[in-house]
Amino acid sequence: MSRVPDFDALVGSDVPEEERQRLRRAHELLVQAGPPPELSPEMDAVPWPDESQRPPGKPRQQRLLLLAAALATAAVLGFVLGQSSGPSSSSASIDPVRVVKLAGTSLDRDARGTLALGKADEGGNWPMLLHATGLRQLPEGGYYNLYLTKGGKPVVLCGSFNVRSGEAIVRFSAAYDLSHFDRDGWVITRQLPSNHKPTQIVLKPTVA
Amino acid sequence: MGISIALPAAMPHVSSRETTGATPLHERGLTDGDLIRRVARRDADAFELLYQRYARPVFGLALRRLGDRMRAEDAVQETFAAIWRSAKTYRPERGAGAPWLYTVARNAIVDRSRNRSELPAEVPDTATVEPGPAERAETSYVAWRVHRALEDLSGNERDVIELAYYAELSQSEIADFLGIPLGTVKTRTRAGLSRLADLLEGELQ
Repeated sequence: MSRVPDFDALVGSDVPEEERQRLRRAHELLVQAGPPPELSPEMDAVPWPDESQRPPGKPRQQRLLLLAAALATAAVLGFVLGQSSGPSSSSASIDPVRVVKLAGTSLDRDARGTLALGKADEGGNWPMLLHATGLRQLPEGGYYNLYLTKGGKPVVLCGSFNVRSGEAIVRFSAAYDLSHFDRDGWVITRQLPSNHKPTQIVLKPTVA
Repeated sequence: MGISIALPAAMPHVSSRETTGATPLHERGLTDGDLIRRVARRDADAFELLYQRYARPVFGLALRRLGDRMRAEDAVQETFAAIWRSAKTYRPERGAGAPWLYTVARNAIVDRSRNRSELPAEVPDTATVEPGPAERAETSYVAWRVHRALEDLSGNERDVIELAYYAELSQSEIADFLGIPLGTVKTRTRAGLSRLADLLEGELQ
């Protein structure tokens, strides 16, 4: 750390002496420890040991049920949106051929999502419908991106969106040959005003 | 860019936690020791939560010891494999979970360092001014505990603390960056430091 923050400026002058000493100790430890390392996107996935094979808490039957629930959700979503009148909502319906379940990373642990992938049209455009919940509203100038990944890294941008109430349903289209990318290789990154690299993954596919 | 539509309130969510109706582990205030004992019983959710809490501390420790991101990432995998294998040897009456995890991580990283060592380096002619093994060990443990404690802060508090200490932004710059009032930055900073002091009290005197 090249510049140590000014403790007095951080905590102000209206703190009782005993509390001040306590806070100063925490301050000194933060300085001594130095910054925690940034984890690569690959490290967001829990490294299940070979010995564990099938985690007992998530047996195959339960995962199949979750997949069925995800498909049911997508079907309900398509039905509800399809029933709505008006061009915007009807264009958001999708007939999913695949649903990718997304889970929050350490950057946004409460976030969840599903990405329903429709059948590609004749031009090779893949319609996608993202349903995300629990995402935090970002500061002004910030937004979320949907990326396709290769080798676990976000490489191709499929679109951007914002969240206000913590939930979003957004339609995207990918004009790429999906076989060139990871299977179920979609992630959501957050873009803050001063961070221009897609390194902050907040949602990624759950491990099958 | 697509359209955004409000979600009907009754829309079912797809989540393993929500479908079971049980309180998620991370909301139950479980200690590290509790989680280790659950891992010993092969509780996958406990293992995931332990990974969330300790991925960065373990990676930081491995990075300091091995000096290479690739090898450090491998060491993280080996460490968590070791935790999975040896969780049943943890005895809560002998101490808290964090020091036990530190020992398992350190051993896994040292083993990896030995196994993968290249040709022995030449012996230097002059004494080094770098910290000795004891000092390095102490620094490593402090970093281990502090980085672990940071994981326990709320997202709001952790953001302002990390931006202040490690991105070296002033409080005004943090306010601009996060789009929040300066007073809120000050409040969150003080609350974050207080929480860290609580978490680290007694262990690092």
